[in-house]
Amino acid sequence: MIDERHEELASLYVLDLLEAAERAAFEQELRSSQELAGLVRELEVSAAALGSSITPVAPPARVKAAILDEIKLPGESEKVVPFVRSSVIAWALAAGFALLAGIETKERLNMYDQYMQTRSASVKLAQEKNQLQTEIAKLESENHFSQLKIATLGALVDTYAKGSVVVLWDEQKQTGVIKVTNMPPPAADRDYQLWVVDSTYPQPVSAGIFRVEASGMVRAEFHPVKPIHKATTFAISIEQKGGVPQHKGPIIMAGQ
Amino acid sequence: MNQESDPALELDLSLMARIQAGDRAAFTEFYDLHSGKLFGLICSILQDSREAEDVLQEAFVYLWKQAATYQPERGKPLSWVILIFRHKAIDRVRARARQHRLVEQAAAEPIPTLSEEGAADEGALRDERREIVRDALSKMPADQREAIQFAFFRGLSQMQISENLGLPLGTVKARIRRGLLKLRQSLKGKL
Repeated sequence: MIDERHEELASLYVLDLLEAAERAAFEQELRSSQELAGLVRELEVSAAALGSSITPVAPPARVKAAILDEIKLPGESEKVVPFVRSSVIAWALAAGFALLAGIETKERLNMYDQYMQTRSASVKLAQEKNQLQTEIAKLESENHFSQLKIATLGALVDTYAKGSVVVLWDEQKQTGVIKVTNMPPPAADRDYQLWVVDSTYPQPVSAGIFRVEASGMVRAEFHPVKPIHKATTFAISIEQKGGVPQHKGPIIMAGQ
Repeated sequence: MNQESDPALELDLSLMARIQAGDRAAFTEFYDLHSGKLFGLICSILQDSREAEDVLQEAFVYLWKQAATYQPERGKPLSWVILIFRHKAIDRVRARARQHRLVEQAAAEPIPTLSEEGAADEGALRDERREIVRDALSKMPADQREAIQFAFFRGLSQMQISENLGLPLGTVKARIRRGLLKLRQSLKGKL
């Protein structure tokens, strides 16, 4: 049973009316009382409802343009890369994997990895992209390859800013490869889980869990649990050990 | 309107999951769906449309970066988002007040909560939920309604609310508590 004093504190808390010390003390109580936390959640809904009582006002179009411009990542890959085209699909996939393996051995693609670790060397990325496009054009001209997608995932949480993840996806074969470097191991009772965003489905589709080696690296093949029609985004979340059918934990990396 | 069969809620949950995965198309759709409500809210708090544009932009970029922290079991996406945007606007009010000592002037302005002022495309943006909330507010004792609206939209401290309403601090706190609990009761199962 929550007394009036705590109802009052909860009301003032959701309206940002507690002083810093009161707020800290109340948050301490919140952590130890599920009942109080439940009341706060309900009062937050009521407070938010106050916000929705306001008559909408359409913002100027320039605001939307500015927001979309601001959230654009430097050098972010936005489109499916028409990597290889072939009548021999299996060979094409193998060729794609070989190209991914090449990332480990070719100096310029090592530079590409470094970019992903820091996410700051946009000029280098542009140069690398140009080199890759040149190589792709050359491969296309040979007309040996099918269409693959490469996605580079960026960290959404600072802890993983040094992590580097590349996903190679073959939509026709419905299989892919993930290459991870510099990722810290998750807590003992957690796993990393890979997700594929496909607008066909309301929720991201699980592509399975993976575990990094002590070196922070892993390279693994994956198969999403549902047919993927158009993969727009790949993401990694931290989930309970063994994974979950629908993501619940925080998304830590994502990319298109 | 119950939660399990609410298509608007389902859409919000779906969009939020995609936003968490870094899907910009979902973010754009969420913006198109809700920016009118959120801009209206920020305008009503700041009373300055140009400054409200800044805060709207800042808040949407914050939403994009912090979407991963949203947990569906903690509540509805739109409730979470509204409180974030309100918080951003209140932060701006408090910063402005610190800089220009405009708190008293702002407090003297009328509360726009239930009026139609500032409406843009009301026909296109009509929202059944808004009517439900307004109905609940209209049935609330006026002193409680005034207290929670003042607290929600003004960005003042408890003491400043007390001074502006000319009421003892204990009375203000009690009215806020009773008002918010009454609103919770009135809206239960309707949103």
